[in-house]
Amino acid sequence: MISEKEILEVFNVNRESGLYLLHQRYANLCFSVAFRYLQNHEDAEEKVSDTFISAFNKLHNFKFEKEGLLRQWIKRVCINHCLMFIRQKNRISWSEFSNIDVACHETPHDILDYNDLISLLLKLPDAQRFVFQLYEIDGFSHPEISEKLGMSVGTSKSYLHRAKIALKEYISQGNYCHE
Amino acid sequence: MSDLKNIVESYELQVAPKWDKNNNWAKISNQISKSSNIKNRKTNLLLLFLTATIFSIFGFFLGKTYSSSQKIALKQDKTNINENKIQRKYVIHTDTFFIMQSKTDTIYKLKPDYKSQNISLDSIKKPYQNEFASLIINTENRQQIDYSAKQPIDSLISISQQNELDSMTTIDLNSSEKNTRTRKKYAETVHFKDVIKKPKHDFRFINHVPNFNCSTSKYAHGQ
Repeated sequence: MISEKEILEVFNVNRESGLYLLHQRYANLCFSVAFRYLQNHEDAEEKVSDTFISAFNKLHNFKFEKEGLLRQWIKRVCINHCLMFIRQKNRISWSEFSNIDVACHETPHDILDYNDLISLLLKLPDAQRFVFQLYEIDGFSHPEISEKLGMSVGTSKSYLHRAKIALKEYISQGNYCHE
Repeated sequence: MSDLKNIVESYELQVAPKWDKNNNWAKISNQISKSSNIKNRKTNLLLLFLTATIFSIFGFFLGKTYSSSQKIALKQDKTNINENKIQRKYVIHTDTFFIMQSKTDTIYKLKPDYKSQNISLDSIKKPYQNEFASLIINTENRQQIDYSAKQPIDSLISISQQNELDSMTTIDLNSSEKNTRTRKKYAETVHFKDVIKKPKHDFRFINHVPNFNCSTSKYAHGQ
């Protein structure tokens, strides 16, 4: 498989060829991520296109440091497009919580597979689901989440806390499907 | 929670979702080529606009400078004429030959294509027709054309008003250092002959410019 360094080298010589290689390598990942957020096949596909068009215009600024960073970068670009789409469509409404300092150390469950997790996440309200995904799966910080979703840091923490409690409850009830 | 992250990441990296990846790439590629075309077009338009702007600014300043220099030259000419009581003066442009009647501020413009164009006396105001009855211009190629009253040929002279000089180069024949090359080129010899009638106005040509001979003896003193 072609390395990220080689992809960037090709991109610097010929942008379209470089983008093609990047697409070949990370299009599936981007689609999975987009679908996880949007839960709609067409929307996810559209956001993948947007992601790679953004990459075409901005990848020349990317400095290669180590393998794996390009994957993180393209994934973040994709998530940003998804969140923008969600905000534009007003698909979620944030109700502000009071600024509660919530400790986030509890784990819903240790033994889960991907499909279980997704089916559990889909049971959550949109706001809790997005915050949980951004924080626990995609590694965003609370200030970043609050900026991207247009809510306060306290609200973000509250949503995360509620999401965890809900997930824990679902798991303890065995309320998810094993495939 | 790191386990959760690993589960999701490894799944999303390894398990290919069911979707048309190639179709997606075709869309992206199409959109990129479209946007680059638009970008190129915008760049071209911008370049065109910038070039046009630069040229128009350049032209504007050039025209302004030129025009103001002509105004000054004309003013100087008028002053000289009044002071020296000289009634007639030649004003020569690189591609047009002028005869100016200073008293009335009327300008007779002779176009440079002497080969094919001649003076029609009808186009000259009556009081001055006689004065131009026979003006011979020897051009650089020595071709001699007789603009006589007996040969009122095609119209050549357009009678203009003084403001037309604004766009012309004025040559002060009193100054021998200016535009000698132009004079040499377009009017080596100019003189009158065979005046039909005695002119109403007494005038003399300025004839102390090198290579610009105005034979006015007959005319100036009358026949």
